[in-house]
Amino acid sequence: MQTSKAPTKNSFNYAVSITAWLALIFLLAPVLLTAIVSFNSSFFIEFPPKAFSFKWYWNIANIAAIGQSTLISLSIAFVAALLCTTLAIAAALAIARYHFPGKVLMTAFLLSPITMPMVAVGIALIQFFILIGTAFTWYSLLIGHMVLVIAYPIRTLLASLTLMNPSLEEASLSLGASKFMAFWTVTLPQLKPGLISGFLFAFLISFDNYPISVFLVRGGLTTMPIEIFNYIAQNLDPTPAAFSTLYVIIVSLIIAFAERRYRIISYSIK
Amino acid sequence: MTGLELDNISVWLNGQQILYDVSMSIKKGECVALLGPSGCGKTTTLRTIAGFIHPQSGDVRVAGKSCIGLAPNKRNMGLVFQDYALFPHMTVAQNVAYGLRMRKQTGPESDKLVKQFLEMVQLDHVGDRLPENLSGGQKQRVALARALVIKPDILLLDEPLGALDRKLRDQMQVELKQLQKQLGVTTIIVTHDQEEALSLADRVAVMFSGAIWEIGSPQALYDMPRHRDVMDFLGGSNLFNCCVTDVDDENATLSGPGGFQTVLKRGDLTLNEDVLVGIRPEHLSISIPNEADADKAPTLRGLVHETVYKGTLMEILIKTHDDHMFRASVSPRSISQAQITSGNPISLVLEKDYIRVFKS
Repeated sequence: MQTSKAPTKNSFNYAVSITAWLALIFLLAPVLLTAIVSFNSSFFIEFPPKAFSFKWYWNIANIAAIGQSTLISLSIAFVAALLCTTLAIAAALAIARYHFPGKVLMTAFLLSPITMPMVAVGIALIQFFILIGTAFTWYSLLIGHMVLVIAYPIRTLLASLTLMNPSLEEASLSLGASKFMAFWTVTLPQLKPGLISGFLFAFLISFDNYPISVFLVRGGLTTMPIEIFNYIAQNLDPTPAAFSTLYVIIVSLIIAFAERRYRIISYSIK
Repeated sequence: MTGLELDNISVWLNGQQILYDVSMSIKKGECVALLGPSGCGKTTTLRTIAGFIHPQSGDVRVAGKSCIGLAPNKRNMGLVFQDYALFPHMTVAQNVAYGLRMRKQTGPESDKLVKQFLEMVQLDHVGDRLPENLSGGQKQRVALARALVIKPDILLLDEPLGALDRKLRDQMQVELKQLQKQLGVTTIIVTHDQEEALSLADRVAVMFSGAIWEIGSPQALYDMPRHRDVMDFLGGSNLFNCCVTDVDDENATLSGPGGFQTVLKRGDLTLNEDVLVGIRPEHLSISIPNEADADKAPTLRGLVHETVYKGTLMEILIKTHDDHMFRASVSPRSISQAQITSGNPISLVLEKDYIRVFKS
């Protein structure tokens, strides 16, 4: 059966969808532009491109600094995301399930790095690390990143925990599972989307963080975004554009896979 | 032999008393329903038995042994949740096998048990499916099989049929009762649905405001309730005020609205005492006025106010001259249309054996 909608509602719907498309184009245009530029054979970043070429992609491999710093960034991002997600399970369980003094304060504190100015966090961290004599090491860089990214898995896990049916755990206990087994065989599998999206968020936020890393690196210890920035400061060729395009494609594939497999986006929008 | 004993259980939650000295003794293999309105404490009682709530005082004994202080996973009780609580990431067979797995029973023997219990609930063909692909009735059966496969000492059912539609509920009622009898497992059903309680249980415990008010066989509770609230809660009822207008050594005469008058055993009734009298609608029948035996059986007179046809029964609302409403359920075949035309005078005969008198 067809019912006619009120015209005001129709035009409102049009306005909303046009705005959404414009916003999408606004967000995507720079990325697309970067991609187009990266295939230009010219030695300078210029638009419109003159001739198609893959050479800047091959050039990524020739720049040793980018390769080394990407490895450091990958190792920091992976370890930070792994440790933070593990710690976040405990934190989220405590926040979601138990009442304890100072709970609101602790929750706000754990989630605060998202809202704090990163430069301030970076300055605070480097002063602290200098004070305890561990500045400019891989470990201090790791801890700095962990402070920044732990809020993300806590958020996604809290969302998963609130969505979980509380009688599942009780069913498991009543069937003879110990508290640990109930957690391991029932709660943890239910938290999978929260775990995966939390891990991915933490990984990606750490991987391309600039403002905090810039305070914590020296000499041979650098991260990928810092090296890319340094390269752009000294060279004008489109190699960074090629690298960025590659980066966007890989990240998009990972997120698309995680969404298909674990529906992570529906959990992280909450 | 007693299967389960509740001994003076009191429970406070968040500074509020939820259960007041709940005591009950259940025979091995017996099926008892806890029936009451929401908030009466029936679910709290169930959760206390399962071990999720620790009572501040009192004892829970299974086969004579106290299980206070025993964690839920050490109690060997099968629990079926209202929302079934099937593990969404496990197949039906894995769900059923879960309790065995937690008891370190795996391999072909466990597979055989799982198959046997899935067959018992007629679901052996869906063992590989995930719970999200099952219908409501199927989920209910899987939850039941999962709770039963561990051979529980006590089976606890929380509103087991509440989420099912009418037809499925009737069918599951029969199946559940057969299964319970066949396995001989001591069972407690929590429900707010009186039909479910009356049809499934050997005995029904009616709970109000955190205490068991009355416990007995479904028929005894329905026909001979000792509390007016139990009578009011279970099925339809007519409750009206009467006065003791005459007493002698053996008998007392009660008088009430609509010219109601009856002579009953005196008991502890005193002259001029006000009492509440109750009778179920199906124990009222239409009589032709001035019938020969009309003065022997207690009668009510009034006008037909409204009739409601309910298929197997016809419900008639009668208004007495002193403005009391009575409800009678009669078989539609036993009456003529002329008798029940609105506004017509009508008289009702009360079955004397089913008249309940409650002291106020």
